Amino acid sequence: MGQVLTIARTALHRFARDRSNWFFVLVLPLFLIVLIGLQFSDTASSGRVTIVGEGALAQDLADSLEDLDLSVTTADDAEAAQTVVARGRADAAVILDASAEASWAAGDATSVEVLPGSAAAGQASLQAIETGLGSLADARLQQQALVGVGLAADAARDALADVDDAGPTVSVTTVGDSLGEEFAGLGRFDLGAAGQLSLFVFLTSLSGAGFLIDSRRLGVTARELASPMTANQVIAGEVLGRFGIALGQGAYIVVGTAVLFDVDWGDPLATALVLTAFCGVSAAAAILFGAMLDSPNVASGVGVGVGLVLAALGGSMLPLELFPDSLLVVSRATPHHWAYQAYAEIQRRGGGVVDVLPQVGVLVAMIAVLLPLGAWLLKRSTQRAL
Amino acid sequence: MMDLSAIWTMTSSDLRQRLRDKSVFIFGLAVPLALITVFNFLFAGIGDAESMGPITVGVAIPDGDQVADGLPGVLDGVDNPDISVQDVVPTDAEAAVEDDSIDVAVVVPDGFGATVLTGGQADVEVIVPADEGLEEQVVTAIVLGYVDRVTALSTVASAASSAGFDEAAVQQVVATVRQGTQSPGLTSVVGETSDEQLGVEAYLVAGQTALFMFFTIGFGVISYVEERENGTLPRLQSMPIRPGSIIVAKTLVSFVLGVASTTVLLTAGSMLFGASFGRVGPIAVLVVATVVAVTSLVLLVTKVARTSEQAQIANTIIGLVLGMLGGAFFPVTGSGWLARLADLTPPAAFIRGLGITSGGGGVTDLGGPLLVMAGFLLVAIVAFVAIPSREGQ
Repeated sequence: MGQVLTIARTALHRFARDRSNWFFVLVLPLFLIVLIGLQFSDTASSGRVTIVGEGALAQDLADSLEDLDLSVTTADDAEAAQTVVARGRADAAVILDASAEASWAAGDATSVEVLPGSAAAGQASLQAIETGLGSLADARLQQQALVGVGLAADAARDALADVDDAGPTVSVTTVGDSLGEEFAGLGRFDLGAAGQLSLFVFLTSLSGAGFLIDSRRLGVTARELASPMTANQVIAGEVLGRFGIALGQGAYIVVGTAVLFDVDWGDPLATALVLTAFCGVSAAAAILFGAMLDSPNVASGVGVGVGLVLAALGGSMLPLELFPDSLLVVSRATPHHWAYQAYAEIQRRGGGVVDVLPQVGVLVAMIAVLLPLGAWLLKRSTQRAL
Repeated sequence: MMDLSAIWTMTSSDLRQRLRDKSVFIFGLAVPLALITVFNFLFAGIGDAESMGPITVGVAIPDGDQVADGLPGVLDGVDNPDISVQDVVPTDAEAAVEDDSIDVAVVVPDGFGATVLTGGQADVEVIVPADEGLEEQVVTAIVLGYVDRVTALSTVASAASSAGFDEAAVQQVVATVRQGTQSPGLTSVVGETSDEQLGVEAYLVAGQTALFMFFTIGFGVISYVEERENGTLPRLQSMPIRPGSIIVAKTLVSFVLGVASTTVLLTAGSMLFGASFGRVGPIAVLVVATVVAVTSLVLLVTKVARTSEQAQIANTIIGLVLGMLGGAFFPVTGSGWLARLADLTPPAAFIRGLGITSGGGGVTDLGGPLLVMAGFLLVAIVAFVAIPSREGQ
């Protein structure tokens, strides 16, 4: 056991000594989680409208559109608004120039320029904007009608404000299952954090395959095998080293996101179990890679490619709930898929150790296949010329 | 005057070496193409729809309700989305939406008109599927607009009554508002904007091309540091060529690799995934400008790095950070500080430039993206001159 630990410790030392690894292991995952969190935190609205103008009409229209559940931003001028819409950063723009504000303030009929984006969301937002404009026009019409029969402007405003909640209302009822309900209760960074946890742990492990190739190239592995150690001890040491790196990074992401971004990881024991099993698969895959490939450069390229592709297929980039059925079948072959399902059980449905046993079972089965295969290939690889 | 023949010899020799090295193919072509293919399977059906589909709305209006009976006509008159209206029995409405026989149901309660005209409250129910699309949102907005009009009559009548007006004056006020709603005082004039957005497939191709460009370009210039490490640089410098020729040759290798891999990826993307990027001329200008900007960044990295490994890692980090921020994996949207910051990265400018060319834009429309590239080039040149070289250290 002493020799196994020595090999594992050496692998950890070599990894930690390379300062660039600190960036990929510690900084990049959190950077990406923040980017994804900031990106997808504000998508619950029915549309995004940008308004140009600072007058009373602009303010009233913004309020009216927000009442319709639209997300409203402002743009400096018409050109900026056009760019924002052309680039798809807003679904539509409303241009309220000084003449429109003046005409509206004077009580005249006013028309405002609306620029809907080319996508369907632009047309949908246009409809909502017209409803919003209609509400403002109706409010002014009511005011004018009351003033027309002799009421003072202020008194008319007060009288209308008093009966503001009178009249019919519209309520929206939803039927059927909603994807929103599935994700309800998840914090801003929760879904991204679970996905990125699997992505980075696996990616770092595969990239670490280069270290194993270096050991083989430099004859370190062959010398270890020549020493009074069994091949299984050498392999166990290498696996343990990869496993330690993976588990360290995984624990860092879990604790870091919980502390910094308030990510709720649910039952700590269940999360630890899933993470440990996933790290086991990652370490076994790294050994397999390190044994199959002979060039560290190629291993790093293929490692990044395979790591990202498996992460995409396993739900680390797009929630599995949005996958087409045919792709879900392929997805099940990735360890990320089972980790995703397990974290979903823990984070969204308050699952504990017993609830994630099926997913952990699949991950353990993957280790049971990959590890002997990797060990066998590693033994053979030491006899291959590099 | 540079020694063109020496530069050409060094460039072509380096290019041959790089082509023999599998990692150029892996990073420059295989990995990005694999990622584009997988992303295409995943994301193709999820992006923004170009247009809204037709939609069937079931409407339940109480018999003889004069206030509500205008609603089906308003819905039927909408062209985008194409709305068809049919009657629905109120008690069957939810089931009909759930089994997809209609897309949305609008149920106006019994006695709606009478209640509204006496200033009372009534609730119109819009029943939508839980995962509603844009079409359902439009229907809800139209119903809200219609009920707003009705509410305007109801509330103004209440306001007039509570202000102490007699019945005749109240009726006059209601008539004025009813007449006014026929020609609304605030209307929209729909203008047109250019479209600078790439379709989902084209975006995936553009994003991955922009990201992996950093790796491919790195293979050229970083070999300068390798020559220094291996001791072949002093030998090259001892040749009867100008000292600057060596780095020029390395830069040319990066440039050729960058332009070649970008061209292959964009072409493969167009052919395999039906991505369309517009006319070749403006695209070529954009590709060259982007490759020059990225090459200047990598050149700067080689000046700062002590070893080739360090240079490669720094290049990877810069590439990943700028790529992710620039929207290589998903577009950074919104109009906040993050989007403004993202706009200043070469990958974002490259993707935006391809959006402009795909919308029919020419070289003159590429001002914004080209300005970003020029900015990067300028900063890199100034820094390159200002930072002392590590040669000899």
